[in-house]
Amino acid sequence: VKPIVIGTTLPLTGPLTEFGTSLATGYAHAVEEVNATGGPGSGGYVSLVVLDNGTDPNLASEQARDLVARGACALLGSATTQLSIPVSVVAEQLEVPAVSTLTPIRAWQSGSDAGWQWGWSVFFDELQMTRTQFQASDLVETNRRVALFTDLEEDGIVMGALWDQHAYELGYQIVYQAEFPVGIGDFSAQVAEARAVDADIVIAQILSPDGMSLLREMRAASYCPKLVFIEKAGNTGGWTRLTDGLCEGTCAAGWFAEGMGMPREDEFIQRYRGQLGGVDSNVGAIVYGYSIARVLLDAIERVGAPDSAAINVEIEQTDAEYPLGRVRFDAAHASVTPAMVTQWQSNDMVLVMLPDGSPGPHRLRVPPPGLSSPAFSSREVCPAI
Amino acid sequence: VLAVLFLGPSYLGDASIVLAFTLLLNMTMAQAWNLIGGYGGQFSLAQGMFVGVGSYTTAVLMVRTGVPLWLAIPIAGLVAAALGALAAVPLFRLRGVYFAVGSLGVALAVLSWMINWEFTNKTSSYSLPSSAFLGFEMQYYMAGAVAAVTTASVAFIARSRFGLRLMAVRDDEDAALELGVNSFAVKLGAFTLSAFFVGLAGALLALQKLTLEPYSAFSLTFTINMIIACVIGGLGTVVGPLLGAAVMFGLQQWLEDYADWSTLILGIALIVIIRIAPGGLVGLARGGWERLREDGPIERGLRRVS
Repeated sequence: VKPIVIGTTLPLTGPLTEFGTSLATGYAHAVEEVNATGGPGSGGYVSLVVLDNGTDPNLASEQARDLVARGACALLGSATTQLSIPVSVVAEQLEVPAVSTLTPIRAWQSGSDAGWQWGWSVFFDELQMTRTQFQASDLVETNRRVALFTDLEEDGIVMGALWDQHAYELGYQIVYQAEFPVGIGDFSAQVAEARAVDADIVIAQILSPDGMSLLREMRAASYCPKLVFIEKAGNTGGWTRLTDGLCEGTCAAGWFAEGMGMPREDEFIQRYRGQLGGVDSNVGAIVYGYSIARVLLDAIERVGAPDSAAINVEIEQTDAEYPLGRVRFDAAHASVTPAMVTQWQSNDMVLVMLPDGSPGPHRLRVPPPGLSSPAFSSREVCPAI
Repeated sequence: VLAVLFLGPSYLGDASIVLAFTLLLNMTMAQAWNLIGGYGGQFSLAQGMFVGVGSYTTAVLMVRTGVPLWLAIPIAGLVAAALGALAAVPLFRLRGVYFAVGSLGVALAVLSWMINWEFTNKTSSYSLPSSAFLGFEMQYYMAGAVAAVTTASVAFIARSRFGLRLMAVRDDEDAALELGVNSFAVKLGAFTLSAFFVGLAGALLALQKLTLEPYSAFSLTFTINMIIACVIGGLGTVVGPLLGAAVMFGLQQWLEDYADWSTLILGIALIVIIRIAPGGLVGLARGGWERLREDGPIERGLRRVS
C-alpha cells in the first residue's frame, strides 16, 4: 500500500534542539497511534519524513521544498518564528497545508502581509502572554519595580516592547531595560545596574546560554529579586540540570503543566515524566507536537486521500479537544491557546498561576531559592548530578 | 547546456523546478566567489553578506518605493557592488590571512548593523509583498539567466587582459606590481563584480523567500558553501564552481535523511576530495586526460623506441 507522506523540518541540532526533539517525539507518537489503528483513509498508512534543519532558517526553507518534492502532501511545522515562517511561506508557494506550533501567534501572522492561506498555527498570543508576568507578580508583595533583560532576537524586541507597554496599565514601573545581542556572555554591568535601581522583579527574554550567564551573574552579585521570570531559556527542558540548580524558583510563562486538567494529561505525564526526568516544557512541546499532528492526521482521515487542497479545507473545519485543549481556527488560521505561569520547583515546572490570573495548584515561592539561599546547592534539586 | 536549461520546466515538476532554482543560485554564488577567490586568489569571507544586501535592497525597494520588480533586481546588484567597492578600499590594504580576517570582520559588522537597524525592522521579519512571487517557472528562468550571465562573464574575464592581470596578482602580487599591474585596481574590480553577481542572487532569493530576517539573510553559511563548491569543483576554472555546487547540492540532498551524520560525512568527503584531487574535480579530470594522452599509442611507441 502506498503511504500517505507528511513531512517536517525540525531543529534537531543547534540552539533549539530541545524544542525540535520534543516536537519530533510528539509527531511520531501521533503517527504511530494513527497507524496502529489502521491508518487514515481506506487502509493506507502514514509515513512521516523528519529532516534536521540545524536551527537554520535557510535550510528549513530548502528542506520544506524538498519534502514536497518527495511527495509530502502536508507539512508539520518547525518551532519558533525564525523557523516556522519560512516553512509557512513554502506551504503558501507550493500549496500544501502546514500546521505549526511553539510560535507566538502575532509574530507568525506578521510573516504574511496577505494572510496565510495554507499555513496554520496553534500557540499562545504574545499580548496575553506578556501580561502573565505582571499578573503573577500581583500574587506576592513587591515594590512593583521591574528590570527587563531582552535580547535582540525578534521575540526579544517584540516582547520587550509589550512588557514596556503593559507595565504602566497594570501598575508596574519599568525601571531598567538591558537590550543585548545573543551570546553576550557577561552580564556584570547590566546586573549591577538592575540591582542599583532596586528592581524587585526581573523579566528576561533570553536564549539558554545567556540565561545561564545571567543567573550566574545574579548569584555572584548577590542580587536576588523577589520574582525572576526567565522566558524562552526557562522553557528549556532539563533547565535545572543545565543551570546547576540556580533556576530553582525562577518562573516562566508556560503552555502545559500538571494540574491543568487537559484531556489525557495524566497519560502524557506518565509516559514522558520518567524519560525526561520531570514535567517541564519538553513534555509540553511533546503534547503540542502530538496535538497538531493529530489535527493534521484527523483532517487527512476525513479526506481519506493525500489531496493537499482537500486536507487544507478540512483543517479549517477542525473543532475538537486535543491534549493541548480545544483547537478551533479563526479566520487568520490561528488557534490561540492560553499561557499560564509556571515555576521551576525541583525538576518540574509547576503551575503557579492559571491563565485567568488566579493562583494555581502550587504556591509561588519567593524569593527564588536558587538565587537567595547561600546553602542552596544543585544536589538539593538534582539528585542525579 | 543552455537548451537543457531552457527546456527544464518541460521535464521537471513544480517541486523539482524549485530545487533547480536553489541549485542555480548556488552555482551563481560559487561562480561569483570563484572570480575573487579562484582567479584573484583573495580568500574573501565577506561575499555571503552580499546575498543579504541584495535581498534587503530588493525588499526595501519594493515595499517602500514601489520600484518595479524588473528594476529592483539590477539595482540590488548595483547596491551590492557599490558596498563591495566601498568595503574593498580598506580591505585591499591587507594581504593574505589578514585580508581574510578583515573581510570576515566586515561581514560581521554589516550583520550587527542589520540586527540593530530600525529601518529594516531589526531582527523582526521584513516581508515582501506577495505580488513579488512570480511563480516557479519564472523564478527558475531568472535564476538560470543570472547563472548563465555570471558564468559567461567569468569565462570572458578569464580570457581577457583584465583576467590575466588578476591571475598575475594571484600568482605573485609583487612580481605583477613590478610589471606595472595596478594590483589594487584589479582586485577592487574583481571584488566589486563578484559582489554584483552575489547581490543579484540575493535579490532572486528574496523573491523566493518573501520574508527576510538578518541572521539567515547574512548567514556565513553562504560564504562557506561558495568556498566549498569552488574547492570541490576546482578553483580558478569556469566549470569547477558549477560542478562543485552540483556535487554539494546532490550530497546535501542525499544526506538530508542522515541528520546526525551529514556534517561529518560532508566534511570527510571534502577532505577526501582535497587529498586525492587538490585541483578539484576539474583538476582530477584534467590530470586523467593528460595521463591518457601520455599513454596513447604514439607515446607508448616512442617509449618502446627509446
